[in-house]
Amino acid sequence: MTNKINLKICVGTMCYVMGGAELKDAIETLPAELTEHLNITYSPCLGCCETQRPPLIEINGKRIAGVSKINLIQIVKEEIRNAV
Amino acid sequence: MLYDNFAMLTKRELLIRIVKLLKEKNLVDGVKYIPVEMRPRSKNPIKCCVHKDRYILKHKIISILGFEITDEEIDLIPLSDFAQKSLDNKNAKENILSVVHEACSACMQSQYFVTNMCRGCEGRPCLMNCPKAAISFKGGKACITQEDCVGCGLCFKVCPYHAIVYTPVPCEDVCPVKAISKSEDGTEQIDKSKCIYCGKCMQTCPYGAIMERSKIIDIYKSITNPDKKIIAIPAPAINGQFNATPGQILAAIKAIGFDEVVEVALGAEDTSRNEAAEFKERMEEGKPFMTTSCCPAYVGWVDKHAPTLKPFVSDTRSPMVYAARRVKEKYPDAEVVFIGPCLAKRYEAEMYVPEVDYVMSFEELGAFLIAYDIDVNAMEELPLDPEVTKYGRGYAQAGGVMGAIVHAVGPEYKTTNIEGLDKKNQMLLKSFVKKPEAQFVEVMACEGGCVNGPCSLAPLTLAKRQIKKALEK
Repeated sequence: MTNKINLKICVGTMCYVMGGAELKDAIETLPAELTEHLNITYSPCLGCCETQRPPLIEINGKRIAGVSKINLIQIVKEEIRNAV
Repeated sequence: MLYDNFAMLTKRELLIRIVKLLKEKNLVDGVKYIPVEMRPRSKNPIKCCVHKDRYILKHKIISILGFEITDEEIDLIPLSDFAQKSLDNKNAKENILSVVHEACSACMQSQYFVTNMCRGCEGRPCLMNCPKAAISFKGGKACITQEDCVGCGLCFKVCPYHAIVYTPVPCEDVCPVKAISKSEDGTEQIDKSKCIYCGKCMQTCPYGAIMERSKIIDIYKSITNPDKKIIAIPAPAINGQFNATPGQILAAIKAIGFDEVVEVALGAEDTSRNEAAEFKERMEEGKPFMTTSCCPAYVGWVDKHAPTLKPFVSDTRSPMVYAARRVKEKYPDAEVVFIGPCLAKRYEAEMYVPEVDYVMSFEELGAFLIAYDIDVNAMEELPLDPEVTKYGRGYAQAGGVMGAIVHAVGPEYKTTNIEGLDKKNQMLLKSFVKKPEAQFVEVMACEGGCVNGPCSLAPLTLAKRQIKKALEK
């Protein structure tokens, strides 16, 4: 695998309060075999929480709304599988 | 704290919407749309239909606005009237914690129950192991006589087919002092004479039916009143709540409209100093041990359920008190808002601390930050008070007070810390009166300490890491 997957977690206050804190917690405790494929950034407000359900993430440019801890890990694994 | 829980998100969304309306000066007109906007017909209803869902939201809003939900008459009053009354200071909600009866699902009485997975096996370990002979066999299946069952759970553990289930009442199960119980109609009620305001029931109820008294309307009015000086004092646990540095967090709070922000950790320095002196004095007098007094749920527990421990609780006041006093000395006319993760602080402030005018939870703070479009991790840092040490900020976590006292009095004393007031710890604490395990005992009603308070925003594991980062600086 050549390129790392860009994963952006929104930690704007809205996303953070409505579940983003939980996402940050999940990402920080991911095992190394997953994180080595990821380029993780914490982003200030992505500016779309008025219309989409927080918390939001962006994975390789795709924006996904209403993410929970469990489906975040599924999304990440799926993306890694597709990239390999 | 459990985050993957929509009841908690509903509460937060309600807070956010209400503060947003306040800021837009549109509360009276806008509040009536909240139930419909949050529970549109296009979504699958949670209870029987959207109307019931909306009705429950209406009751939760009334509770947040500061009114007791008592009788059916409230159904005759539109939400807008409640909003207006609340803005006119006529929201005289008395109880700090109350059950929103419409939301309470009146869970089935907690019990062990044999399901039809029971195969009536020959082994019948349930029958053999039941200490109260509460199990009988009817039609080849086990049956529990509820009047005889003492709820030991042995049958549940030994059934090889997992045919026996436990049906809990979540709020009653977590209450450490049996203060919550069923009323005649099956919904829950809280006995004020027993409640220690630990907030466990509020945190646990899967329907979000137990709600605290909120002062957001009053706080908003003070913030926006140009003639009033209003000062925020955030608890040390604040440093674990956001993806930001302590300086940025202070700046974010100030940006809401507070005239100044003073860390409660500054008051913690006073607590450490006084408590260390008091501890040394007590030891010299030959007292067997002393416990901390900064956790109001623990102090409430001693008052209401363990009076024998009272002489051993420190007389030193909590960091909130000293921080508020410092502020009031400097600005006697200012209003002081304590911001924390704790429900019991509302009780402490109301009963014993006239220096604190309002208590605001971290969840409510989150709602304000969102309504005011403040991105905490994009803030310019405010300078931190050099008088505050890592020991003061360390009060946020279990073991922090102990650490500060050891730092002050030296390592020659035996110390221990107790996290959580479960049955085991309650027994242990009561046994200290006769046989203390240590000379200095730190007690926190929440496992993990204040960072795990019932109104915190970040999950405990994340909050701990973020606090560690803040303390290293």
